[in-house]
Amino acid sequence: MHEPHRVLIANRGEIALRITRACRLLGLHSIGIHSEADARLAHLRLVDETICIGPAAASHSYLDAARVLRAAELTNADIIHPGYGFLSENADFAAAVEQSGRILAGPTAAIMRLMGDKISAKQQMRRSGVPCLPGTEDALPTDLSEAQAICDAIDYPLIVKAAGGGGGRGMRVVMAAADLRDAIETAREEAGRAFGNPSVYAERFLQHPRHIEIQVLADRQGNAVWLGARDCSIQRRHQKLIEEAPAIGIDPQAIAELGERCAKACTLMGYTGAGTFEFLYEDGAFSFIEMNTRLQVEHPVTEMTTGIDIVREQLLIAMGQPLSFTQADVRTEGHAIECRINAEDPVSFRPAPGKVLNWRAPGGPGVRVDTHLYDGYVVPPNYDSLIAKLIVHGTDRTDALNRMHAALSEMQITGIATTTPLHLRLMNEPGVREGSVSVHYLEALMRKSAP
Amino acid sequence: MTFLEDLLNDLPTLVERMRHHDVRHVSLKNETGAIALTVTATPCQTAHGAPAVTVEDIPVLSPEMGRFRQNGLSIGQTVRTGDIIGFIETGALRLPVTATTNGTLGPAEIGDNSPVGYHDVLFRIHQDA
Repeated sequence: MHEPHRVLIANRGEIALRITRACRLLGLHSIGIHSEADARLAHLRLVDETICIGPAAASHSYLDAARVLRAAELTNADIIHPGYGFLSENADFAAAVEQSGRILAGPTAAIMRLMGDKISAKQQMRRSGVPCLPGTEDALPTDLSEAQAICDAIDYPLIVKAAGGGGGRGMRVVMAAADLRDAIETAREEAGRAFGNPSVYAERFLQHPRHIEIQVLADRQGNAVWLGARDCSIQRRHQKLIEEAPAIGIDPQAIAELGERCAKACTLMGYTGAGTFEFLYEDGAFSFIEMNTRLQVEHPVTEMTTGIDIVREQLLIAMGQPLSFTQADVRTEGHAIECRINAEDPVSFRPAPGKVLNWRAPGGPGVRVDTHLYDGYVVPPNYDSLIAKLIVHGTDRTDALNRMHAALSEMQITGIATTTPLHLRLMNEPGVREGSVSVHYLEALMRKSAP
Repeated sequence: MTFLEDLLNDLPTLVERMRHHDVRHVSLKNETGAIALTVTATPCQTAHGAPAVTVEDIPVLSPEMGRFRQNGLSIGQTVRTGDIIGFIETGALRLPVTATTNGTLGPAEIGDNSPVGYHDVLFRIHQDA
């Protein structure tokens, strides 16, 4: 029997390096692709084969499904690991990979489509017993009076969202019934323009929720496990900045029940690979927002607390192997925190690409750095600004916060601006020390301290 | 003149163009006659004492990611700007690789039928003085 073993890493930066490490651990033949701007990426020294797939622009390299597939054909790759971002949640790409007879480290194209549409995803969650926000079952009817009646029943404040959307576009918060019609019309128009699908739906709007998510792993044999919860509430403009595991201040029994439901939902829909169920948590209740059908940036905090190498498991699942452990084997220990180090101005968050003159990694017990940085590395302006993830693991949350502060102080990146000073400051902020802040915490704090 | 005579007169040009575009076989016919041409690999034209090609020479980059196909050219062969010196196969397309300067061709940096990346160096050409 032909065993798949040539893995094409369809990504760049720290995550490409992370996947390369997992390939090497498993003795798999790794293939690194890169754009013309990325010929000196760290993982390209470690992979077995490299190929330049196109010019610097992501649309002509990492986002170009045809080029990535051609690279897979040229290099005889039989597994494609998409990482996060780029093509990782593109159902058309997943379908093309399947049609070419290759395996994508992730769920099938059909599942990606099901979870990619907010309305069908919510319907699937309701069927599986995963808690959702009170809201419409389907897209709002085009008749505004009918839509008004439905929304009045949900009650206000509510949010009108694009079915095919994300990133805040095609989204309107409606505080009172009188504002509904305008909101629906503008959201429809935006959604049509941005996503080619004017369908919108409505759901209850939570004012001060926390962002809590459940990591799952599911194999091709129908086994699914959940690996604990993460709290990713410290965000700016829907971009996570700090993530941690476990989520504190929430009844562990309630999280366990939620986790079980997520794992069951995976089995019911035939999900395969790693995935994340994202929830808003307010007043003791979880509400499903969306499922990420891929590896996430913040996966290391779960790895640190469970001891499970999620990327290794993804590759084993792609190779057709059953999970080597059951839910009963999953234990979480201590507390882990991740700080995203971005090449950005720590106040304005404007991207700050350029040459890294000196890079000194922090170390010591419980410190992990996932990064593609090295002395002289040039951060290109073409891509996401994430340049490093600093992860610490402590015996408890206070220990982890202290270790993070020490590691941040020890870490040195010169030549470009990074978010490190902001993280250093946040480690001493009363809100962060205490924990359980809402998704609006960071923006409120930045507003307060703005000159 | 007959069709055949016309063709025979033009034969040197035709063969040169077939070699240039890596066309190995051509059949032509009309009501007066027919001709089939099959061209073998380009004869070696290596000049003795050709200057060694060094890294300072002009690189010829691959126009796309694909599979490299040689054009039967040899090291030391004289090429002129625009000459087709190889091909890149990308899916159904066959893109010509052309000489970027007049000079002497260095060895192919990529093996025939091997995968090649976007803008990878395929050849170096030692420029004419």
